[in-house]
Amino acid sequence: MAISDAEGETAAAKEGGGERKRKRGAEKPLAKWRTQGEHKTYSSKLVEALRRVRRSSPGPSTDHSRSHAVRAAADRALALAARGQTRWSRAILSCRTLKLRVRARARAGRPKSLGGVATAFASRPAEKTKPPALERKARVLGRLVPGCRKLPLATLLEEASDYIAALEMQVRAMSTIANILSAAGLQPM
Amino acid sequence: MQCLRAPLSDLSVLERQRPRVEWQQQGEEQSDYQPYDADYCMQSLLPVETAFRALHSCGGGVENENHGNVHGSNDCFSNAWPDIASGMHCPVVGAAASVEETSVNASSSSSSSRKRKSENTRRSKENSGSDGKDDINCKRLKEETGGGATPEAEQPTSKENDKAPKSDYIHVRARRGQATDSHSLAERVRRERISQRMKYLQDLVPGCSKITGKAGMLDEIINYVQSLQRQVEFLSMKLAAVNPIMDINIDSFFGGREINPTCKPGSISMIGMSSELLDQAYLQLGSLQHDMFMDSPALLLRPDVNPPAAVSDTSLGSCLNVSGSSVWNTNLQNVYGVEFQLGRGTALPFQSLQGNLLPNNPKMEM
Repeated sequence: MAISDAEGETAAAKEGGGERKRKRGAEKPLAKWRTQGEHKTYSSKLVEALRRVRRSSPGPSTDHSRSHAVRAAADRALALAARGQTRWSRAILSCRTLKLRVRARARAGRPKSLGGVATAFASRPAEKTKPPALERKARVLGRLVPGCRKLPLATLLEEASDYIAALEMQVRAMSTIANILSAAGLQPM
Repeated sequence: MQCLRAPLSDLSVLERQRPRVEWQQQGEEQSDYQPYDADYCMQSLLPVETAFRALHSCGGGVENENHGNVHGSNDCFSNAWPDIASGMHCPVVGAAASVEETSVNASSSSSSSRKRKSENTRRSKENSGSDGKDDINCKRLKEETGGGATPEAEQPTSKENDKAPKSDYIHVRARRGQATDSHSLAERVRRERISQRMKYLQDLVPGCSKITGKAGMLDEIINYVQSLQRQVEFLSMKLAAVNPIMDINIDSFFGGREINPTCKPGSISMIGMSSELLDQAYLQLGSLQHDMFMDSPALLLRPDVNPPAAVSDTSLGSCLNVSGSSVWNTNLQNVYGVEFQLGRGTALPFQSLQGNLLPNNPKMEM
């Protein structure tokens, strides 16, 4: 993530002067996901989840399944930290375990069907290029943010901003934990 | 110019007025009301929160549940309009008057779109005793409608609005020279909401300050979300690899203690956690990991703290000591003692992913 200095400073300023509300509704996600309290909550939940993952898959199981499990646990912990106020968090909590497996299998099976679909798509681009350029991107974004397909743009942007802030916190927390663990592991006697 | 209408349906104004008026307690049926002047049309955009609040509160008697700000205010206004237009007494009390006055102000200084809320019709419905005053206001307003706004008209309006910070309705001011068609007003409301949120996202997503235009912004946002998700993926892989190192000691390691403020490598704090949060010790800890993450797939990481000091476990030990947590020390030693071999065994293949790490290893072994 390229964080410019200006960004860092404004972010720090925002953290410091959290009462300053440029925009009442949207200021909250930013401040909310950057507080130490949230960090604490999330980290403890994450560690708990990691412990469970470790216990559930003892021994050197395959890296992929474990990393998937870790990722799912981390996302669920993040969604929990959101306290169910946003759509994406609710979507994660309600159908997360299903999603990955289904998607993995769908991806495996899809390449076969793509060949047939491509011909159908060939005729489309002529009509579909210009008008929904924004719309297409909005759909893409809707697919990226969990549980936000087919949302109007305004809501989608709101969800996206909260999701971005939450993801940033997640990355920070996970990297910190990974650092500690790897540092702990690497230290010589 | 045509005034604001509920973009809901194709009903003519009259037909729409009827149910509204019936809903109104006075039950004054206006068979025919003058189409409002464009001057009468005013709504002011609110920040999102109050918009939602207004929606909910306004949705009580009318069927505007989630059709957007426009409808709520429109319904409430439509109750007021017929009375004013027909010259009868304004059952909708000071609200209507203030509405009129502000609309007049709009006409006079309408090049700027003011965003304002007034708690107009709702409050007026509850009032029943100030009809006389409102009559006067209504009449005065009608006189002013023809001419420009008088200064005194502004003050009661502003007072009215100041007194009503929490409004039930969202009012949008129709700008001068722009269509006041209900559809376009609703469109404008929607567009302004979207642009508000885009601006907010612009601050959130780094590197978006130069990009103008929704398409470019959306592209940036999509890229950023994708990169964040990839980072999470990568970190989860790393955590999965590092996990075996943890043993029962980890439980006491992390148990009850909060991780992040204590050990926050500054280089990893990408999001601009202010540096005063970082202890000097943890900056060193961060530097330990600094090189590791230089070539991480999240290439956008920009380490923004001290250049990596020489890595040695003495420095790490001093870090831990400075942190003031004895728990750390004891547990780390436990971890080292028990899991060192295993940790190295599993951690190394993972670190090979990160090219820069290997030079660090000999250092650490010292």
